[in-house]
Amino acid sequence: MAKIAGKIIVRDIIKEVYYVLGGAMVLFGLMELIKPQIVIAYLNLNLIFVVWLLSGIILLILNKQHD
Amino acid sequence: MLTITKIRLFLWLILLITAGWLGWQALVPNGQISYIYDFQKPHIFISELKPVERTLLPQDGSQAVIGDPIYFDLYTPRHFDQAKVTLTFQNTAQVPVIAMGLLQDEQSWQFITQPVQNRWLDQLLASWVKIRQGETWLLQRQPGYTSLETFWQQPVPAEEIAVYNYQPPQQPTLVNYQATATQHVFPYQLRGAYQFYTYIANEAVFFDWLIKDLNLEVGADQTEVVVYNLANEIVGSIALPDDNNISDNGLVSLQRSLNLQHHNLPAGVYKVQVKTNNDIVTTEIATKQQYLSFINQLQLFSPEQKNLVLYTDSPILLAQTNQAAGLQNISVNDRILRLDRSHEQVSLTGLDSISTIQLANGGLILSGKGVFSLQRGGLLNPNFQQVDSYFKLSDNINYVMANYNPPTSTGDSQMATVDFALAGAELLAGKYRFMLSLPGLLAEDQINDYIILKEIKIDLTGKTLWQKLREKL
Repeated sequence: MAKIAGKIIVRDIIKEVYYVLGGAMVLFGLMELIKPQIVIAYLNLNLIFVVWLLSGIILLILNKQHD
Repeated sequence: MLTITKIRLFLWLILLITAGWLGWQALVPNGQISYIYDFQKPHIFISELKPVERTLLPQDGSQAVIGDPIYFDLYTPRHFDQAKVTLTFQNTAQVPVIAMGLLQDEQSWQFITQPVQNRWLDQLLASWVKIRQGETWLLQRQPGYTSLETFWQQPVPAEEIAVYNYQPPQQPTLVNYQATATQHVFPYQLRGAYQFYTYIANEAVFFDWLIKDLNLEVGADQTEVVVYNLANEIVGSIALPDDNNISDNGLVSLQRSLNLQHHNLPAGVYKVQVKTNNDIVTTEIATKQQYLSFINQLQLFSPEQKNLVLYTDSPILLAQTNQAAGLQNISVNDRILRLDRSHEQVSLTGLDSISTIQLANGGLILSGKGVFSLQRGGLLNPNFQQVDSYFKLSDNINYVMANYNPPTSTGDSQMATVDFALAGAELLAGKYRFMLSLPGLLAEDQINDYIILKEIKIDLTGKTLWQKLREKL
């Protein structure tokens, strides 16, 4: 029972990370459109995209296990 | 559930703080920001050094420069007024004069330069009598003058003075000059941009250019002529638009005329700058002025023009051609400069105070550190001897004036700071172009000499966000 509850918490955290990173990409993309190089001067958008993608994949796997 | 809400809030807060910080970095609300390129990893605002052929690969937080000049670009997220560039370097090649420049005009490839290191001045500062007024040094072999004012009140012969990065307060005047109405013609065809000195006294400025457009490059080929006095103030200008052929079809335009006339200018030396690109050829310059002294460089266009003769006061002559028809042996006084390979610069140093250059034909670029003229007596150079890389401390030089801050030593390196106003600078693809000038350092030679750059720090200052808002409102 405790193992299942732990998995649910992990899934919820990853879900939050997934949403925040999605929001970050939209926000940073808009900022780059408004003022080029404002974001990529300091942050690697490719890395954010990869982490967002990984969190999405893990979330899908966890959702499938839960179902 | 409460934990998840806290995590959610925390993550979104981080995102907002990050976005706010990025916005702050882009707006720079306080109007001041510093960028440091330490040669460890690429910098987003300061580009890598280029061209790569004149550098070695960065290593251990430094980069060796083996050729002159090198460039780097600066991207700024907003507009700034002033850039203070601090360079940390090791002058292992003992390059006599290092200067940094900021691009002012792309067409004429003109940079405004500031001194980084002048080893001649470093030596004189250590051994001669020195007086400093503001930024200006007065260096004397023997003590004599107590200030710059007293020096210029009783000036010594010009042969005894050398200057560096210093504009003397007195303008040279030609005592025996008589204005005439006779029109002179400079017959050699010149390609691209150039500039020359002329002298005017009790007469109108009169220049008539004949110009043709080669249309070898895409884009409009405008020609602008600007006249400056020796204080570098614009006193007249005129422009000729493109010939309505912006393609690169190679159709040579008909000759068009550009006429400049200006009355009531005070007597003195003036600099005329012809700003254009390499599609434009000046086929003739007609003038009523008696002096026409081309500054530093002449691009003689036509190999069909034979037996050209020029005079120069430059201590060095450099020649280069980009076409086989321009190859030749150049006679300089009783010496020969062999220009036997295209796209390669050849040079002759240690020339007399006035040299005669005899060319079999045109089709080459001549350059030096002085002026070029059609007549021996037509050499007009208002500049004092310069303490530059070609300077030799002769016995007759007794006074040196310079605006110069010697670099400071930091361990095994030296650190120099130069200031540039960004207002007049030209942007290349939205970036400022800086140049590091290292005359004498050649990548092509087989000598293992270089200077090492350790850090480029750029402090930018401009209006604060509050000042900008107040201006808008």
